[in-house]
Amino acid sequence: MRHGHVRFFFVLLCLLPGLLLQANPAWSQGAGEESLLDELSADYEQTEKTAVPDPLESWNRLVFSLNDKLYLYFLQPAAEGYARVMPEEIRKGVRNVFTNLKFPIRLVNNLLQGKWTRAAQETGSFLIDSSVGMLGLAQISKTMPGLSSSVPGEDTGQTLGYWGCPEGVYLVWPVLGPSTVRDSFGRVGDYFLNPLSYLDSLWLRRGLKAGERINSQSFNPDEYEEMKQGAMDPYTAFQDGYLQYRRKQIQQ
Amino acid sequence: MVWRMMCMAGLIWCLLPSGAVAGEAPAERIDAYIGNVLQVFQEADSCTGDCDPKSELRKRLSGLSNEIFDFRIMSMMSLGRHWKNLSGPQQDTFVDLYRQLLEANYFEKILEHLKKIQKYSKDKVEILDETLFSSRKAEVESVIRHDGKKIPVDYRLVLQDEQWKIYDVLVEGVSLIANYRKQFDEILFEKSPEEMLEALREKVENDPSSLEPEEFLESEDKVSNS
Repeated sequence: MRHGHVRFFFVLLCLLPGLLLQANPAWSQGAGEESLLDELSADYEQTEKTAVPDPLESWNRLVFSLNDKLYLYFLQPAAEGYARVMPEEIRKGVRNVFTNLKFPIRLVNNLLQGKWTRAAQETGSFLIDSSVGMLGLAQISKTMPGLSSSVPGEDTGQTLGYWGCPEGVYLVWPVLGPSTVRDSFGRVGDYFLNPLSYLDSLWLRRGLKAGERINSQSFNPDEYEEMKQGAMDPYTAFQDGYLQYRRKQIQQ
Repeated sequence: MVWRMMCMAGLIWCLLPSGAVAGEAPAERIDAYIGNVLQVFQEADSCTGDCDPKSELRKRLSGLSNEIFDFRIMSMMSLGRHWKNLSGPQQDTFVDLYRQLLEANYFEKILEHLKKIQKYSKDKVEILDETLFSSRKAEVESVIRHDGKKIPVDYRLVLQDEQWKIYDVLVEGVSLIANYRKQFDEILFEKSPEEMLEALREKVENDPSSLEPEEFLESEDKVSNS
């Protein structure tokens, strides 16, 4: 009998919140409204707490507007003219060759993060694309399941982040664009891992790197302008976009 | 025996989230939405001669987005702690202007991505995963395959009036709402809500693609007449 009572209370306890919620939906909703907003806000407040400081904002904004002009008057017209004379298939081939060449950056940084499978996948892709794919011109590996098409790219900045190096402050570099202190060091690492950096002629090096930039720009000519158009404050929009994107890359 | 069964029933009832009564699951909602959008494009593409004008297309897409996006929640999340500093009418104005800004820019861009997909075939959009964080908060992961690349697009959903609604879109891990939240925070740090609304209104009105359908058509006529 006593046993029965205990059970009865147990059932009642279980039913009570359910009964209340079902019987009076308005009450549960009213109380829920505030906590719902709190629940949804949590994601955004978390990122706000770990925001990257921008003590050099006025300087960064100046460089940002300088880059904007460089983009508008040099890069964009150059890419447009280049796209007009160069068929898309060739431009894709050029992009593939550059991607293939930068294999050491991806390999070394996968290894430094202990991502062995991905390092093997990258190596396999590199070997196939360099031989059968004619120096990377054709990305044969993309058609092979299990090879690099599903592997997120790695760079030195991501390796630093992976090992817990803080981002430091936000920086905008002339020409190169948005960065952080950590990613600036990362760029130095990438420079030494990029085979192009070991070419003898300085002008050849610069020419090839500029060519790569123009070539990649030719694929999404309107992207930058569209993003700028949607923004209330383009500087902040690009700053936040860059920082969110980099954090996501490090997670992968 | 009876007690045991009642206990079980009670337990199950309690554990069931009250949101379990909702019609479609989050992933199904997203899937249906993408399907509808692609169908609108397909219809616009296949008809020749007496077609829907461009404004009609926009109106239909806007109708679809109104069904699945919760612009009020999006506004609240984008303004964060500043939301409460706006008066009731100011909040309503913000929701309306912000909706226009989003429709003119980012939805268009997502639609662009979908449009580029050859022959609008649906298998280029793949829904990968659905995560329920609680009875009323969920996330749906998807990828758009395009030009040998995979563009990850994640949707954050909230259960409102027994229907799942999108309140944030993350393209390649970049949250649309977080991005605007930062911008509005920056603006409201030095400006009053009224000044912010004025800047937003100016932004929306100066954007040729954000005009209401009728005006859009008129402005096109003007261009073709001149």
